[in-house]
Amino acid sequence: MGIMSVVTDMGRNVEDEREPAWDEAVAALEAATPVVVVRSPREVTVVYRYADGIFTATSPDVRGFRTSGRSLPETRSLVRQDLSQFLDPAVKVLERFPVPDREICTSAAGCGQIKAASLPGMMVLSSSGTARTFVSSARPSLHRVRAS
Amino acid sequence: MAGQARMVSRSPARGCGPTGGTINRYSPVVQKVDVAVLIVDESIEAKIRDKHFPLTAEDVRQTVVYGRVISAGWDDSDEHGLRLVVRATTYGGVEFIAYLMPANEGDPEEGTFVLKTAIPKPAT
Repeated sequence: MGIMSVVTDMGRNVEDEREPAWDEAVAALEAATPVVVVRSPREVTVVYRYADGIFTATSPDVRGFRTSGRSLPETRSLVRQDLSQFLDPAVKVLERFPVPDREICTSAAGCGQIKAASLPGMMVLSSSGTARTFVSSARPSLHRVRAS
Repeated sequence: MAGQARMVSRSPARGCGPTGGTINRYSPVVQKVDVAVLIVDESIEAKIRDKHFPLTAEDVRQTVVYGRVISAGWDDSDEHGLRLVVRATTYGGVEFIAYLMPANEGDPEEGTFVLKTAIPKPAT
């Protein structure tokens, strides 16, 4: 056309515009020049919380998303299953984990002090980085410190 | 932004993007589009919420920016100009078709779009 035109689009009352019906929209899409939607690097955030023995995951980026599990690994697995059906494969998931509200402090022979979070299923490292232990609230009698 | 008129030159730059070439309905080359930002006007948000419950403009924004897209294409009409038509399904399972207008008509492939409307698939 090559003619400068003035568009007052932003000020138009949206109620004045006739909205296409679903069939019209489908027909418009079928007649449109096809494109492939690609993704520049981006990520959604998943926030894990722990309360009353239940891990809950929500996301500020996905309205209505909420997944719960009995352990952190189980909840993470459920989150991955759930979001993989919705998210574009190119979108990364950024996970934020709960901050332990208290610490169990003990000492290990020759390894200095070990700090263990109170959350179940959480791997912790000694302050020297040489000892590992696994703390589980499901089996409190096995709270042993193994120093390598 | 409501109430502001803006002057744009549609025709000379229509369909020209950073990849060169014009958007041609008969082109054998499939174009690639990145919907990085979707701007939603309050009036559009209210219209979708009122007319198409439970679909919301926020659902549409999240889906076209992060979600899997079923299909998409450029629609170029004299009445509405160049628009990207996107078909997708929200996290809540509502399938919809959305009309997005490039925010920068001089560079439609820049990645910023304005949501014009979204229509949910009628329940069968």
